[in-house]
Amino acid sequence: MADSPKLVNVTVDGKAVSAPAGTLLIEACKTAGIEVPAFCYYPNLSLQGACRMCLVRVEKMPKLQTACTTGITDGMVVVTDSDEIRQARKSMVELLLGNHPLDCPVCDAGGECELQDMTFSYGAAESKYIDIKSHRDEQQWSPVVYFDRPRCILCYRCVRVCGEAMDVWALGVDNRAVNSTIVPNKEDHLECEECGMCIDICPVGALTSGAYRYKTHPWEMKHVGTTCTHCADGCKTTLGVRRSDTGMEIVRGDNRDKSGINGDFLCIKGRYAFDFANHEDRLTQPLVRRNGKLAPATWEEAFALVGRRFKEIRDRDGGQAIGVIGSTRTTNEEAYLLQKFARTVLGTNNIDHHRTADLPAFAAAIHGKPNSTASMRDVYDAPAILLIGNDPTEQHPLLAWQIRNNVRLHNARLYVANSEEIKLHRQAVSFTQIPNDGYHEFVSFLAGPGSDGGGRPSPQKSWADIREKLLAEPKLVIIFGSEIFGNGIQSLTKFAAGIPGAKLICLADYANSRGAADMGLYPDLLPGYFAVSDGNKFREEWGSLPQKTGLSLPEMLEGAKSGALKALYVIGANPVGRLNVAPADLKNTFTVVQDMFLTETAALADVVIPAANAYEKSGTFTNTCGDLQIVKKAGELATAKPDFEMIVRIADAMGFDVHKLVPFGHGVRSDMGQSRGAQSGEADRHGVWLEANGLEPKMNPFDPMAMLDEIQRLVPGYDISRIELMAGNDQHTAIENMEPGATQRSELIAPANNNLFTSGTVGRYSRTLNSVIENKNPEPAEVPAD
Amino acid sequence: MLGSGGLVVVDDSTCMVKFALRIMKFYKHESCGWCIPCREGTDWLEKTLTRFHTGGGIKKDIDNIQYLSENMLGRTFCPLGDAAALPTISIVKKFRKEFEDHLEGKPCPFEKQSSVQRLPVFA
Repeated sequence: MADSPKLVNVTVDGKAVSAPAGTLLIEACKTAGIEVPAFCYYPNLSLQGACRMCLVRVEKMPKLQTACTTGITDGMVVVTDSDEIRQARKSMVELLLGNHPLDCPVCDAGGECELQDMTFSYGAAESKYIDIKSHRDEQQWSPVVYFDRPRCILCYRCVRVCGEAMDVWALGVDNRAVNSTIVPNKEDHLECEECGMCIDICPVGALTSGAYRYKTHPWEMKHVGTTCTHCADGCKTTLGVRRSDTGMEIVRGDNRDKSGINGDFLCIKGRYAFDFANHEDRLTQPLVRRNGKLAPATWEEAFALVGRRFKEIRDRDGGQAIGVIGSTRTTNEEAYLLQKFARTVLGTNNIDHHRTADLPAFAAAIHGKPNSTASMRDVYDAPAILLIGNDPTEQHPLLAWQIRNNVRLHNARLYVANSEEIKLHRQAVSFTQIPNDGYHEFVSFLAGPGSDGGGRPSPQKSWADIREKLLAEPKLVIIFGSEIFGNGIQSLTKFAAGIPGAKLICLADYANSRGAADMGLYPDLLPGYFAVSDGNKFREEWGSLPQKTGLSLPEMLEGAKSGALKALYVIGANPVGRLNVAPADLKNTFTVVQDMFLTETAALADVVIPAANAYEKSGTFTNTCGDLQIVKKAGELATAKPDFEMIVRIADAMGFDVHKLVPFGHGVRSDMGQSRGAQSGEADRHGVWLEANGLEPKMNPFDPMAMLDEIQRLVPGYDISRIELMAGNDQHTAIENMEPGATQRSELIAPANNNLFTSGTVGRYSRTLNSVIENKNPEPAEVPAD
Repeated sequence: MLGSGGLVVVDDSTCMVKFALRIMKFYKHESCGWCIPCREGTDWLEKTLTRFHTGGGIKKDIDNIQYLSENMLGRTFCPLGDAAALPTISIVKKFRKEFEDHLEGKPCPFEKQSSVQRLPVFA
């Protein structure tokens, strides 16, 4: 890796190409803009040379050579297109089509099938064989994986991606010759992580997904690139959306174009668990409690009632009598708007969210140290990684993928310190088992003498060895889970400071846990971790702000029980389900819940308003590494509204001037934006630039981009390139530029404890996840709420 | 050329179509299935030759057998595909007449009381 390999010159179809010696010919051709076809070759998987589609003529070689296995050498002269080569490729396609069923019109892959494309390119129009095709019946290997043997062309991509890239090894090849077939290694079923990579990577329709098969054709869907709403890794997922009787239905998720931080990787949740959006239990109209029962109401009634009651309570008992619980799954704009609403409209600092990591302590520990946080992309390139706590394979599938493939492809050295022998220990050069309660001891040991606060003597010689090794690892990326908080993060940062180029990642658990923290969903912290007593910057913009630290989430519930808290406003959270709150506790509190489903919390509320999920709105998410990404609306339902809109409507119903809440209407052009649209191509092009630079007129108070303007102005670290963001690229935010947050109590941090197949409250409403859980374990464990 | 360097002596009472089929059965059985031309090619050659030998052949098949073998030759992962293709090409080239004698539902001329089961004629 260290020495850059020698460049050599080769000639491909008369074009001079220069690439490092040993580069695969197929890749060298790509750099010259020449595409060599292949089924079995897949970048970053082991080489096969099985499909024989990439045959090329290399001068002085007697036979045609496979471009996917030939390394280039100096002076090589290559021809990739000639009658001989076209004939070779044509005959391969003919042979494949010999046994391949021509059921393309009903095949899931029809329209995006590589065999179709090759047939189109190399023209095997005539059927040469008149004997009977081999047929075998379709098999179901798991709730999400179906295998249609006759369609399989045996490129072995699925076997390799499952084994090499996922380290699951659930697939293999059975028999030989024409009887060869892909089989699960557990006879008739898969025992795997159900990630669906095998289906995604299949060039034909041999592997199909239980969630998508026979539902639609690729060309009948709208494809929307957005960010996944499940864990905190922030994978880009491209949703396939169809119109349906409810407005829209998401039928597929993948990331075939390899854009985004995850390349083509998605786990089961990103790939299939969008189906909660169309669950029949979704709320379709606002509910208002009448005579002790929740009864349907109109939107206007609901907003008017909430506005009136909030205003009454605020005016009578003051803002401190109202509590606000925010969400870890709403966008940054919504989280920001919510705390602004709480602080300026309700006049309270009683705002909190389900914390899954001690991000204020992290912000404090690395304050003013530039470039000290790693992005998700850095994890793939880092020469060495230290992973303390957490089990990324279960809780952060993309992170695990990045680590695993970094080790496999770049020989990165992985050091794991965990109380359990987590799956990633297989990739590790060193695994240190530490006691369940020994994490802080371990990190203070790492930080060196003088920083550990006594405790047990650290007898472990192995710890000293590890420390020595780690200190000799420049550019180390240190990843830690929620086991490390408060002073532990301080110690770890101190340790990192002794390693040149070291970077840190603090793992939070939900899609926008990081965003919720950055946007100030804390009773004592404003956006950017400014202390509430230190918010002059915000006071100048927003007017007077409450100075006193508010109530934390458990304190709010306590307050509700004791009667001190008169109203509770819950957005996209389920504290009752998570903390087992007794129903009587909320009896005397006017509770408003915005959610998709009638959760345990919503069932106790006085007003429930149906909310849109992240796939039905626009905005931005910040992943656990601090990578800011765009969330795009895949479609919308007439029966739910984005939380953003609802917060604005409630503020309006309270008589608050919404211009003060959302800075919309700035930069209105003389044409009021009317020249944009299908009629005017020129204006549309201007529109892209205007929007990317925050100059697009925000015509209504429901435009999250108007809020993003303010976030970028006021929250340090979020001053990223807007045009990159709008283009769908990830932008790393700098938490080190934010304020050193105040000390938090560690008992407020509760990790989500989701595994691969659970995803808090929304996961409960995913049919796919539930079917997989049932299939694996007939008696499912209790799913933690969020 | 016959196969992979082995020598097989046959006299003129042997049906060369049956001989080609026998060779192909062997290579089909030996093929590991790794690469397309050998895996699919030996299978289709065997299928075609079986049908051909039992009197189900059509004129196009003779060229197809040669075409298929020529497309396997030199394009497989290992030389097993070559070893299967070479004798087939030779047999079609040198004994085309014997193939033609099998056409139009005629029984194998070398098996007077044909014991092979007749397959239906396609196309």
